[in-house]
Amino acid sequence: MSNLSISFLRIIAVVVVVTFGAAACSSSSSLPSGSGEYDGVLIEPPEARPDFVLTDTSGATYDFRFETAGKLTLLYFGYTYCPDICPVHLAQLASVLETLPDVRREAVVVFVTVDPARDTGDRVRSFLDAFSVDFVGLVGTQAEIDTAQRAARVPIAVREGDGEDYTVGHAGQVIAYAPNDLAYTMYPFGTRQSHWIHDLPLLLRLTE
Amino acid sequence: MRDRANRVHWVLTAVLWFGGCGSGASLVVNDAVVALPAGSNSALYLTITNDTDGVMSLIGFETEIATPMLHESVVTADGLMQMRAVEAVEIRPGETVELRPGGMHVMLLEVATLELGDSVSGELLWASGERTPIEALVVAYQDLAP
Repeated sequence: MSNLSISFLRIIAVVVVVTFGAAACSSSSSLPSGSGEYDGVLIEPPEARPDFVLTDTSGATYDFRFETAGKLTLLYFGYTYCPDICPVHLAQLASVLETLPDVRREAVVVFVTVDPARDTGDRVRSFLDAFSVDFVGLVGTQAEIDTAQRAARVPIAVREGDGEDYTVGHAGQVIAYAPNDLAYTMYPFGTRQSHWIHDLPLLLRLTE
Repeated sequence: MRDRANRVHWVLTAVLWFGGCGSGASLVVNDAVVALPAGSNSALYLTITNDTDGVMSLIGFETEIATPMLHESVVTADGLMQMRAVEAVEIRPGETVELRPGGMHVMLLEVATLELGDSVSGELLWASGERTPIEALVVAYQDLAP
């Protein structure tokens, strides 16, 4: 075989490998996934548990960093009028925790409304109770909620549309703070239940 | 979502036959479900296969239990999950479109009191003026999670 033919075959081989490699990548799940130890999306470098103060659904002041310090904490920003993303996310979390009783005993799920104009404490409580009576709900003024979002380093929620039936664009991920008060992973909408079940027991053990 | 659907045997199908679209031409609607609201709003999810000869354009949904709006959840470049109103969902001949959590869906505003297992009646509205009657089963949001 001539050198020209061998070179041609090498080129063909490279093209085939690159093409199939790309196809393999594109055909893999589009769902979010981390790498290495965790299935969630990695936060690098890990972020410290944020410091903000809001009001819980009983009307009491809730200092997030103080109340959740040393606990596996799952923080989510959403709103009760959300018909699609928020309830599916929260339902999935409740379902995951049902399957992980050890994690459920130790973990705190905190839901912060990004719709202070409509979400009262009672309304948030009723909404969360549809998933778990143990979920913590927080409300506040627009300024307080914006401060909380900035502290948690999520994009600030945006009201969309006019009238009573507006929607709110908001961060879609749940941020997981380990007991050592650092967040290593987050879980965007679409995270598979198996990813949660894999990661949460690992995160629960991160006490130092 | 479909795996769970098959497990609990709640697959519902509605077929609309179009005399003008040739023999056997139809729209097939599967897996129509309404999530049991946790607040006052909810959503309708389903799949539609266009077995007609022409492009079909879904422009709305009518039901007595809520005010429906076609919406799509999208993630913006800065990481916000947003819901955008959709004027129409075009379905080409032979194409199947899935209205699912986190994507295209029919938002249901101010939903009437429902129970798990209830059946919600309604009609899909098409740009052609046709209507497709459907029955959607009321399920828990847990059943819709990835």
